[in-house]
Amino acid sequence: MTNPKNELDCESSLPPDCSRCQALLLDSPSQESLETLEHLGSCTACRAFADELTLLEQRFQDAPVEFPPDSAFSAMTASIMKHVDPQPDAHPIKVEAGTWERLASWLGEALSVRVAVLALAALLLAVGLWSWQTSEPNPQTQVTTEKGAEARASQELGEVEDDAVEAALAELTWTAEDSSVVLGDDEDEDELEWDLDDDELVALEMLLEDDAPF
Amino acid sequence: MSCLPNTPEDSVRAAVRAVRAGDRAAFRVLVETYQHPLYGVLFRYLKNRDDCLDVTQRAFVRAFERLEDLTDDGAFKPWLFRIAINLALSQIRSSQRGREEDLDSIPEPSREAQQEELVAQKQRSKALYEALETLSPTQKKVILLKLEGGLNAKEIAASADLSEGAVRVHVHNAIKRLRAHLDPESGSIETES
Repeated sequence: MTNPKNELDCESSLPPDCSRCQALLLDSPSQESLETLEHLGSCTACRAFADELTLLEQRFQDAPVEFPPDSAFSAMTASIMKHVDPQPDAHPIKVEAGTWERLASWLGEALSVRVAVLALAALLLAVGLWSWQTSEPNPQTQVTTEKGAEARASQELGEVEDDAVEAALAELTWTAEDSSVVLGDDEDEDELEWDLDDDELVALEMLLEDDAPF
Repeated sequence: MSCLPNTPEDSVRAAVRAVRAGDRAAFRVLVETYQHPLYGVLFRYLKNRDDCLDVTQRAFVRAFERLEDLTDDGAFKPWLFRIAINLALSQIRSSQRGREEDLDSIPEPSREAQQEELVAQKQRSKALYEALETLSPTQKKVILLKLEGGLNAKEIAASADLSEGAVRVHVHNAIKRLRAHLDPESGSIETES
């Protein structure tokens, strides 16, 4: 803002009518208002001001502004409106989805993709494990297999031994005094007698522990 | 609409209100109303067609973006011109153009004119631009807003942030200085006839 005091000084240098007249001259390019014309007829100062203003306007017209073709203004207007209103036709047609709809849609897409990825990963893992197990024998598995074979062998042996034991038990007679086993009928003690050492006796006891009927 | 605008000012005021209410397409009315006078004022500053178009466009875009800062719907015109002149001055400062170097690159007049008239017109243009450069920034702004922009005293006052009395004083001083520069012998401006 300018200094109001200076403005008053300048303003006070003009008579009120002149100030009014020159204000109208500035506001009205045609200078044809009745009030202005009456004042200009009697005031040389304001008439000089009006003439100078008119002459200055003529100076500006003699040095015209170089305007571009109308197409340049049209292009500029289009560019401005593109910035101001980017998609004028899209507003009434476009229906904005709600927040929940957009969230659900996003989750659905994300979940379906994730589930597919997880299923594929699980499938690959299963195939990898299967191929690994079948191609490389596991020592632990091997041990287990060997143990299984032993167990099967032992079972078969046990069955054979059980048969032998059952056959022998029919003939066995336990004598605690001399740790000897007497085969044959009780009434025929002298018919056959085997002497057994301690290891054989322990093995025989172990065989008899499970199935011994006595 | 029951009541159509009667004057250009009413149209502008209605357009500003419409834009404020969300009708962005109404901004076209403002652009088409003011693009030519705005370009005319800017041309006296920038003296370059491309720069003028660029600054004119930027002024409208900035006016749209800051429309909420405009307190009076009827004051759009001086507000827009103020934005534009500030942009032009900023561009002149940043590019170091618009003064001495551009006095030699004053635009050529229209090609339809005669060769003699071309020369005379270029001389008159050069004299006018040199005379304008003798004015103070405020005097230049006031006289250009008046003669090229077509703003009245009240609008010039709003645009230049002055009182209406100060506008008249600056116009008087600008006329005196231009007269002294353009026609120092006679003490008055003479037409080229």
